[in-house]
Amino acid sequence: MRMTNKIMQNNSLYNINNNKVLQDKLSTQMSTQKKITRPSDDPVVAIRALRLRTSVSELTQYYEKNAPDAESWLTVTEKALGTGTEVLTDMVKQATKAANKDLGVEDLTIITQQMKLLRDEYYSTGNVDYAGRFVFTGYRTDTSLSFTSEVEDPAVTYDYTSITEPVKIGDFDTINYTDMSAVDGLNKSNYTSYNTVTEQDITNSDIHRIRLSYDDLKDKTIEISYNGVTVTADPATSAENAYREIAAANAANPGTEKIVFVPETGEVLFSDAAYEKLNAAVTTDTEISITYGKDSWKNGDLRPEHYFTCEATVTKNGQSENKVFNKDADVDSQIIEYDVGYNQKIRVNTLASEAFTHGIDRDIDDLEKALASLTEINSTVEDLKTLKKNLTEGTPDYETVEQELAAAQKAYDYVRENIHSMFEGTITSVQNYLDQTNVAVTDNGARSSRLDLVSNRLMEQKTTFQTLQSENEDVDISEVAIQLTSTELTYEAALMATGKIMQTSLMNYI
Amino acid sequence: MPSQFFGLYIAGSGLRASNAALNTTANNISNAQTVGYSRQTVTQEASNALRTFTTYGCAGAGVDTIAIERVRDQFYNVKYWDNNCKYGEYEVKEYYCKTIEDYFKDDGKTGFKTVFNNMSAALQSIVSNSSSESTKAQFISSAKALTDYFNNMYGNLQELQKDVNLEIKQNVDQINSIAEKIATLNKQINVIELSGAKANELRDQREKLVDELSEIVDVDITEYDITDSNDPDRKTGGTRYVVQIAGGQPLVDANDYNTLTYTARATGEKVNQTDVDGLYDIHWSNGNEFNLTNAAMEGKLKGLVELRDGNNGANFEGKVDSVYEETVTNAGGSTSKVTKMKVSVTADYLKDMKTCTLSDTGGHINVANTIYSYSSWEYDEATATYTFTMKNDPETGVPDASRVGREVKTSESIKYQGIPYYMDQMNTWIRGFSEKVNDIFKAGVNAYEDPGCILFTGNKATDGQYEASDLDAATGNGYYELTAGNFAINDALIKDAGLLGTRSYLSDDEVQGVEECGQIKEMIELLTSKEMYKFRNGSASQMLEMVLSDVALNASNANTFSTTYKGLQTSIDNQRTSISGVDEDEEAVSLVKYQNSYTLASKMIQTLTEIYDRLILETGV
Repeated sequence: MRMTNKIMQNNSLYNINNNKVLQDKLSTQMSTQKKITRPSDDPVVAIRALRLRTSVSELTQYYEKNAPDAESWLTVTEKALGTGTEVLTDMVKQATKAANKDLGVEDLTIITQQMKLLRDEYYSTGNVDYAGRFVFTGYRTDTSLSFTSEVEDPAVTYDYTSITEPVKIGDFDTINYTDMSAVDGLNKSNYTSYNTVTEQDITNSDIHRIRLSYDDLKDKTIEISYNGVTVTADPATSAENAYREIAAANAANPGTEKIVFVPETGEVLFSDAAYEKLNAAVTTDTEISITYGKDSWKNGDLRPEHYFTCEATVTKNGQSENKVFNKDADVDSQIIEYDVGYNQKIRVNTLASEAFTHGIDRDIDDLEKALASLTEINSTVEDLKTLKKNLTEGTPDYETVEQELAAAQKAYDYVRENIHSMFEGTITSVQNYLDQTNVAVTDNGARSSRLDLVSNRLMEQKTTFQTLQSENEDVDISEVAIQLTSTELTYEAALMATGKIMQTSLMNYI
Repeated sequence: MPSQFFGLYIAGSGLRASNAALNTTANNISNAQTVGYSRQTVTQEASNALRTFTTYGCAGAGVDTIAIERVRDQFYNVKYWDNNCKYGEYEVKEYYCKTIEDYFKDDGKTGFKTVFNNMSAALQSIVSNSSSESTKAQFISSAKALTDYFNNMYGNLQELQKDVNLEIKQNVDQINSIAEKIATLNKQINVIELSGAKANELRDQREKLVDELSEIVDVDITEYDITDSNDPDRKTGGTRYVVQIAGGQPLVDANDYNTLTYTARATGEKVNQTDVDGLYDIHWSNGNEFNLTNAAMEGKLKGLVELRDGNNGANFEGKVDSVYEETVTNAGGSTSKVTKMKVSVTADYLKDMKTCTLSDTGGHINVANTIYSYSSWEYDEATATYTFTMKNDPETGVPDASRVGREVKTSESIKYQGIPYYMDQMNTWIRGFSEKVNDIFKAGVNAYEDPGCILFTGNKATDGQYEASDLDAATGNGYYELTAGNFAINDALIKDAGLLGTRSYLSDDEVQGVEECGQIKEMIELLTSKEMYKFRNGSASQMLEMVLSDVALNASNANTFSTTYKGLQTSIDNQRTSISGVDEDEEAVSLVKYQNSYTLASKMIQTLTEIYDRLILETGV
């Protein structure tokens, strides 16, 4: 081949240029620490880099945002539940103290007062919030667990037109009722004109009842349905009358079926016969749903939407809004879950129904009611005792008083015995609530420790992906440095060679 | 017996020959660095011997310089041109692909993946605090970044299409200018060569022009000798030089040349929905069609056309179903008749409005090679037919019933993935993804316990945004309305993030609590679930992977080919230079060689002078 100077120049330039391209590539790699500067340098690396970047960004989100968020939520829940268990433990202590037959009415009143304070404390821990969001109320983080001072605002009314409470046959309890009408209103001024009363006039009986979650209900009527059967309850003229009616129904031979609904106390009373009929019709799992309405609320009442299917009309400054709760969605479905990894969710919230029950409030209502009876009968007994001391034995008045005192004392004994067993029962029931709360605490703790594990794994995963990312994108400095040095050498050699061949031609020697 | 002065004559011829050779050498040396210059050689021949009628017969009569000719091998020229047009094509593709690649590249700050990941993170934040309006506002602003990204990409690609279009125009201008120059050179060369001489320099210039032309478009050169019409065997010395380009379309024929003209498309007249206004259509000035998408075409022009119009084979094609007239009532109450043409299509990408790229602002439609104009169209999904409302074309009018059953297309199928292809990819993604996202949020319940509204929409060309009903295929044109250019966030949501339907719907009466975010969870799933939204067999989040791999592969291909053809070009050019190039050493040798012959010839004359001196002045005196 004929070789001209031009070819040699062209070739030299071409080679030098190639050297420079390589040098530029290596020096860019050195200064950016990246294998590629544009996707077309190596499409496979570029596409893989995108995927890895997504993985790292997702893991960062999980590790740095979602997991700590979940943790804070769990911690707030844990603290609130901790307070709850302390309060309940105190309550058990109080109930234990009260379960002593030697205590008088005053002592019991003080203890009950104390328990009421503990109850308020207990329900207010349910209103704890995390960054303005209530933690025990499921998805309704904008609604407190219990009514607060807002119910005292006369411009707003909360009319729950229907609250459907599901109960089971096992939820029925029996109350001990002492018919004290015979000594009702008896005192030291009217003892002579009072009807003749004997010990036999004081009767005591057990009554089956369902204690609804709320008292002071709106309607006189109630709907009880199970297995598609709807049963009606008789409206009660007063609580006292209702108990008496049931007691009478039980005393009749054969016992009559009678169901009475007491809106003031939120109780549905069953006569033995009615209870037996119901008991025979259902199994232990049959859901008996009871629907009622309530429109008067006081500070501290648990909001029914966190527990039951209900419909409500909220009227604010004359504007009313209808709301339906938990009709299509189950109350237990209000579970907040955070994504804390690929296909890993962690539940962060504890539902009110798992930790806070109406039971405590209702137990205390029962205690208060019993205590009121006790206080009443106690004053009658005390009155008559004082009276008796001042009377001469054997006088007709003395006889009357003695007879009346015997009746009152009998009533007092019944009520005192009843209140004693109620306090004992309260120990058990509060212990149960405590157990329930402890289960919630344990669940919450288990989630916390699972979250810790997940967090650790996330950190490891993140590191792994970052390593992969680095392996994919980053250069091996020593390798590039060596390459660069060798390219430099080649470049210099090329320059030298070109310099040599371009300098001389035959002309130099002519 | 030759003349006594015969020797002087011979020596004189030697002087002249050496002189001519020295001049040629001088010319070669001077043009050693001239581009396109071919070295010239002097052809010498011993003069016809003089018959001397002596015992020794003939006497040599010196030297004749027959010709000064350039050394050139046409074979390497053809190879160079063939290679150069391929190099031209890939070089231009390399440049533009790199630019597209730069646009799509994700540097971890503003790229699609980054924007998309941010959106995904914002969604996660809603899940951890969906009662807060600020997390929703943050998500909406990250979604806004996504729409901004596409708007920006759309703008960039449109600008790029404009640049490509302009470059097509410049190349057409250049072809015209080269054609004119070649025709002029043809004339000058023939004038010189008819006299028997070789027009070396002019031929070099002509080939240099063809070199330039071959980068723009493929060339085919033929040169015929012109023979005497009275005596077909006799060559006149003149030649007919024919240049054909773009797969055999004549550009220059001897002294005549054709020019190309470009006409900018009217505003709104588009082939693809996303095309910029004023793209150039190229024609021969004589009215013949210049087929830009000719399969045989190569060169820069091909690269540019493919970049500008490359639709990856997804052009509009169909068959005429029926042509009929319809009476419409005008605004004034008068009635007029418009021609409608029903076209049935079979391609999947035409049956789905989400992948349709047909221009909605009118354009040309080719029915069995006759070009008609249409002003608008409608699609009927049930029958898979497009109904075009035809416009009276000044040249061809409107189609009639005789066109039924004929093939229809609005553009050529160009297999290359050019700018329209990337636009189409973005549009397809935007439309499919927006539909799914909007469906999710429409089904949700917002912070005010009302049904959610759409998140993604498009800005209308005139004013305002598309409503949910416009985007519903039943009541509007469906998601065809959305493009990367008008892609936007529903204004209502920008003003009030609380309108976002994050909660899942239960019933008309009942609403979920504020912390519930079923729709957001569905949305998170949508981002990465292929089952919920599939974009080219990947999930929504993999859009960039898919498109970037196209871009990267195209760029890398263009890169490789451009490097390969550049290498080949260097090597062919070297081969050509090897034959035609001036070598300094060689010329130095020639210089010495001819200087010696010149010196010797003049020495000869001096010697003869001495001989005449002796003979005339001293012999026999």
